[in-house]
Amino acid sequence: MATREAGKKMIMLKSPDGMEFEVEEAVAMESQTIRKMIEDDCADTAILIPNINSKILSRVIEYCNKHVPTTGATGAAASDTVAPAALAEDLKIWDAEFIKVNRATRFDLIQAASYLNIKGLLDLTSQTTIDTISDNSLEEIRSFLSTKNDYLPEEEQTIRRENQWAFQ
Amino acid sequence: MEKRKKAEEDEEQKQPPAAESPWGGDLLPEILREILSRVPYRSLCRFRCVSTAWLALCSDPAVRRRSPQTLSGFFCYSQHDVGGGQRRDALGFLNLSGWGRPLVDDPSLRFVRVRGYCDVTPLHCCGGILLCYCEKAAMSDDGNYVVCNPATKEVWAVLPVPRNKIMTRLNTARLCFDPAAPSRFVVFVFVQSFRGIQTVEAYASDTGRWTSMRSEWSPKTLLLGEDSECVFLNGTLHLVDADHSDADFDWEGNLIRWMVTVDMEGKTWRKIRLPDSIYNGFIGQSQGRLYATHVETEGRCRLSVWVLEDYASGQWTLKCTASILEMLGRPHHEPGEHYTLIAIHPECSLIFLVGAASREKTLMSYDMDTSKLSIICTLGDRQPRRFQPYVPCFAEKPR
Repeated sequence: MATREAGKKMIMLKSPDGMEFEVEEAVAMESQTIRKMIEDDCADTAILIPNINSKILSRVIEYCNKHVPTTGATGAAASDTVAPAALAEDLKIWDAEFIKVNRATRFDLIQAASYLNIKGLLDLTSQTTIDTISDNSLEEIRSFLSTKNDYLPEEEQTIRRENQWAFQ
Repeated sequence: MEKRKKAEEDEEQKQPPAAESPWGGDLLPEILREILSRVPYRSLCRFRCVSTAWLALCSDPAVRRRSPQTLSGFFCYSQHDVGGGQRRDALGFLNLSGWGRPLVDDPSLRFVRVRGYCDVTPLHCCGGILLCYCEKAAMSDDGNYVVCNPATKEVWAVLPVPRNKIMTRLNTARLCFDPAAPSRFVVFVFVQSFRGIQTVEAYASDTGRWTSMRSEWSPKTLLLGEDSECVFLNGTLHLVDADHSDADFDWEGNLIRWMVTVDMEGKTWRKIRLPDSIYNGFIGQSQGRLYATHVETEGRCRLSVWVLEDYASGQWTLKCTASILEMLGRPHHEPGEHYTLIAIHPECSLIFLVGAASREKTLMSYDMDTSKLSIICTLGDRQPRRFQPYVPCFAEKPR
């Protein structure tokens, strides 16, 4: 966990189930939604995140902590060396590990990333979902999304014919 | 960590996902739109067959607009009778999708011509957006560069053509546009002078301004205007250097050819050596990698394809090689028999080529994974050159 450093502004995030998370302002501002609140001075010391439970919120913070850009001397110097590539590779591995969660958690994370407007997390969670279902058969997709085929037989025939090329 | 995952698994077992919304699962439609807007068009069409709610969702223009598309065909030229026994090249579109309405229904780009141009020449198709040279009067030096979207028939920008001391059409203009970052595009104009390319003018859509910069390539670098081969990949333009003035040969006697690169911001200028002996082929991109191709003009008409596996070191790897004559089951090479490689599919391991032994030329595809050559169609009146691969993009004009 990040320790509180002198000079770094901290923000309190509260989940609806009453948990409080103290995070650096820079980390919280990975979320464009929170950034806007802070910039518009709507944020006091604590910000209530109305629709994200503590379990998901803690994971979102974990993601933001990892992805907050390194600032200052290290960041500037790094751009001239091979370090950014290695750093990106490291992040990729971390992301792959981070997203190894069950379906329900992943959907919750998508919802949270969308609400909080965290592009990287939204890309990661959405892309992982697409990768899961893209090559599956229609039956597998239906079962993954727990949805039912409600086409009438003749409707289904027509729609399958029109889109046949996409199955080849 | 372990504990948390365990707890989640238990939770999932306790509560099987319930179908609460017609789209399935517990996802809100706006979240689904967010996910689906990242899905390639092909998958989107498959998802339409999932259920009626999914048909509506996948047909939503908001989703389709952002959906990554696939290769739908080529802009190319065909010969048309213009009366008096004369024939002229006219811009057309070769539809590859082979079903339904072609995604380009105004292949001659009338929506651009009505702005007072007598001739519209596509120079570069990048991410579904076309950069054209538009002439106000035939054979004049008076024209504009026009950036437009053929899928939405929207003109994005009408730009003045930077002057040079020879002829403005000798300039090489290329477009940088990435559908994944549709809020901005950049047009580079490599200005031809008697001393080679020294000045480069760049127009950025977000600032609406031109920036003049000095080329950091060798002054010998030669770009061939409209015919210059170009690939925009990972924020960088890659152009084939056509300079042969004092051709370099390596110690084995191979002709050394180069590709020159510049990034979208005009900051990094590089050159990358092309695979040896490439002179009759093209460079292209597929699945995020650069490809270079070559085909023999005689003998067994052997085609070779290289992939730039290690971009940083500039190391090309021979991906495949095959004889076109053998694949077509032809015993020997006929006089005049000629094949031209024209494009690579952006998502599949598929190379497109045109040619034949007879006058009737055909468009073919070569699958690099299965080593199979397939004939797609005859070219008819279409010219076997200057094919611009086109992947539609439904992005709106950057504000």
